[in-house]
Amino acid sequence: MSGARLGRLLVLETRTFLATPLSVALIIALALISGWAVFGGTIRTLETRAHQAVALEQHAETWAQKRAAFIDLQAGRIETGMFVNPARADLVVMSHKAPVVTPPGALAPLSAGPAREGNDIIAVSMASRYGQQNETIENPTNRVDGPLDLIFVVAWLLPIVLLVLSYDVLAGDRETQISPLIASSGTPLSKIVLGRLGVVFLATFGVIGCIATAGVVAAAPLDQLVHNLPDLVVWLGSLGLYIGFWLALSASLNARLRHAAAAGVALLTIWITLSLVTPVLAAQWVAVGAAAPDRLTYVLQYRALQNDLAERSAEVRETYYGANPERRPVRGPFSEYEEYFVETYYPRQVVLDQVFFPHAREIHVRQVAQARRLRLAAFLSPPLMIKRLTDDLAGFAPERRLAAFDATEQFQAAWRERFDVKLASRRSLTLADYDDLPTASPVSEAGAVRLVRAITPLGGLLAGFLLAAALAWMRLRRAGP
Amino acid sequence: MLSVARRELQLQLRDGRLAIAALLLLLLLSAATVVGWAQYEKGEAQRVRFAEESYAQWLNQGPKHPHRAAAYGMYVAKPETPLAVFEPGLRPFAGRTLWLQAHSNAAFSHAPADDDLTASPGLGETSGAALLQLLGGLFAMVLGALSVARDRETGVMRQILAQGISPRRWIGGKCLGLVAALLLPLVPFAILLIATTAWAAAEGAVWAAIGRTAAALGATLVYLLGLLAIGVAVSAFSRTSRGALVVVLSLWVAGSVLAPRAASLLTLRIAPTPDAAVYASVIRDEFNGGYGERPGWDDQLAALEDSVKAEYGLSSLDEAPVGFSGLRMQAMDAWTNEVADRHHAQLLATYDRQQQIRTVLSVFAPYLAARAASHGFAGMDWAHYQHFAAAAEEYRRAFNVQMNEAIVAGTRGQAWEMNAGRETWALAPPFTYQEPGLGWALRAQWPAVSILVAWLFGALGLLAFAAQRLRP
Repeated sequence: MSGARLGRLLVLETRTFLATPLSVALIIALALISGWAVFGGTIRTLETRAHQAVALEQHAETWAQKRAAFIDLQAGRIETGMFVNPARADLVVMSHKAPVVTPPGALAPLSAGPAREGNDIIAVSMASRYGQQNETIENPTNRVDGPLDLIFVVAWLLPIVLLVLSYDVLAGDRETQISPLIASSGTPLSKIVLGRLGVVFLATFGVIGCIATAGVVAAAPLDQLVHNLPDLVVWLGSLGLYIGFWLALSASLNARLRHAAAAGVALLTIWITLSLVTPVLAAQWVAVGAAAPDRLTYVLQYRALQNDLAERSAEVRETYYGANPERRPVRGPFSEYEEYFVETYYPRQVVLDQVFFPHAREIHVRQVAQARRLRLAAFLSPPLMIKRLTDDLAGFAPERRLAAFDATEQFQAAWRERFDVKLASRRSLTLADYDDLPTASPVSEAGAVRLVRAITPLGGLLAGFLLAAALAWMRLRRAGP
Repeated sequence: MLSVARRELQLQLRDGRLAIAALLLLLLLSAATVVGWAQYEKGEAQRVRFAEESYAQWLNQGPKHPHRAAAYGMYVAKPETPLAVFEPGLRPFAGRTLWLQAHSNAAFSHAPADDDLTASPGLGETSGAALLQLLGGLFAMVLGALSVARDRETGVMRQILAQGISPRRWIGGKCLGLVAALLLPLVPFAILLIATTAWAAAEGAVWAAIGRTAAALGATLVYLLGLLAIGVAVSAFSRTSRGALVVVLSLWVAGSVLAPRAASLLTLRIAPTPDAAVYASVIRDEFNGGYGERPGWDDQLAALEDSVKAEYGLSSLDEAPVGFSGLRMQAMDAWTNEVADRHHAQLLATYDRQQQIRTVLSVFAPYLAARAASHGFAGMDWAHYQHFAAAAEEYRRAFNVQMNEAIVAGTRGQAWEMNAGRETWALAPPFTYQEPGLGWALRAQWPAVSILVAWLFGALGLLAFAAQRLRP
């Protein structure tokens, strides 16, 4: 078939599509839901960025206030008190928290990911952070269904829209006895089906692709826009494959079945299997091969270690001083509170982190193992594949959380290093201590790393599409009116 | 009518597609329950071990200051009813543990979905209850949608109505047959589930377990019957089974797939839960600054110092014959609790408002009501989690009072440092929790159950209307 004839066919089918109220209504509904989902995602992404900026500003501002207080103290403008003394490291830095932020991923407007509270801000201080509770007051009823983000619309709703738009692409004509007439027009039935499904493809891909692109562009800072382009292109490619997969399935069933209702029920059954049942099987396979981190045991281990170190506090303190004799206090404590926090609490926090680090990291390592297995398991289910791919590109890959954990670890080490000797030895702070603070760079990930990770689900989607398309093509070539 | 019902059931049984779909549903429900059983057993074993070890760690924490012991605190974890094998409810997303310690009200932490990728939403539906409500609902609607329209398409309806049978009786009979077809896979499963939960229940809780299971299944059955009636009504209105299928599929997608997420979105827009960090900082600010006529902490502390001096006739607190630091901790905790209670009441009001919004939305999407009832009867809804948290909070406050009394008794004047040991820690008994009964759950779930019943009657009314207008 020449390009011109294919073009004419597409125009003809587009007119038919636009003249069908149900098709137009469905596309409008899809556009509205997608638009709403992406709008929400864009707002969420911008809010996350704003929260992170505020956290960083607050940190800088609080520190500047402490610095100003120190200058006032030196100038004799303020007096010291039991809990106010800008020259004492224990009072200045023990309670100070510096944020480490993980900015939203390239495609964050498209997926809310696990939707935790906290805006991806990790607070770092001199104290151990492994005991942090991640407590939440959110009503979990609001989390149980997951967010209404674009990836939900794409992975779970879009196939149903495609199903309704294409389930009778040929079987409907057979039922109404029109197909012999169409077959006699000289255009092969396979081309007609291709034309009809091509229109559905263009309509759905066009609507979702445009809305997703608008969201990604609107949410990205200008300097990030170019960096996000490859992610967007990969995602749009996977969206095309995903839509193509469902339409090819529809074509393949229509080539065989004589009743539209039978084709509809068959497609619905496939949707239920791929969207609701096989993801459960995939999850079970992941759970067996890559068990989730055992958080309760982690908590008990941490508390047991706390108890042990508390009982051996004198030994812990001596080991800590032994590692660097500069840490030994150069003066006696001003109060029993200072004595406890400087000589007992802080050395224990340092040792606690040294001993517990492998356990804390193991939580993230296990999540990475789960994610890797889940990417393979997703081959069972295209909806799961596109969901995984989108979550990864939106910044929710466990590998990124592991990178954030490592970056936070490094920053905390630098932060402690900066104040460690002054705090432990009770030497007075100087103005130089207030300047040139260690800064935590936002946790970032190279684009190539993200895209390499996307190869597995993208390959799965490509394989799924090629299989479905080959099956459809073979069946359509033999399909009769 | 009965003969029509018998004939409809025979037709459905002869239709291989129904048998396969029913068998698949039964298989999926059974598989989900077996997986649920394994998760429940493992989870309960973990929970018991966790609670015991956490309490042992509390007792064995060695000599230290009672306030540091209270800051170390202990963990408790919410127990589950046996029905959780079928309906895990909020388990994946609600925190499993509460850390009870000195400074603030406990909030749930360590939700399975925070750590486990396979517990994330969107990975299919793993629980038997969710499968029954989702796939069972679809099955019921499709069953209904194909019934009348198919008879119209094949001309069977014209023949039957030509025999003088009233359309209402004919549709009533068809519905009875379809109900029987729907119940075929569900009844054996229900018997199996009731037996399982009764067997898994602790001694003395068998009837409660049976009651909860029967209530959850009953609510789900009302929901499924309502959907079946809607399916038949749509079928009676539609000229073709294709049309009927498209309509019921759209209704199912809108009501069961889209509505829950839209409901969460709307709920959070209308009645957002405060951000945890903001919530904590508001309490902190009020603690420091006071509210209404109540002064902030510094002023209260100054008043306490004056009153202790006056009570004992002291010129300095260092001379106090009791531990002032303990009295200060008592006052600080009492003030913290007062401020926290004010805000907690507002938080509970927000949860109530969220629940009310969901109840209103479930008038339009009965799937929400069916699920809320199922979660509630299984003891796995937010109300049950809050009941547990309230009991744990009471326990937390009690052991904090004991620790502060130990400071009062163990120090003198303004001194802070002291050590207490195991006998002091043992003053706090192990935490025990009594799950609320079925009556409590029923009272909490009456709006959801009422909506389901109303939907059933509404669907039957629609069906009667469709039967009245039935044309071959």
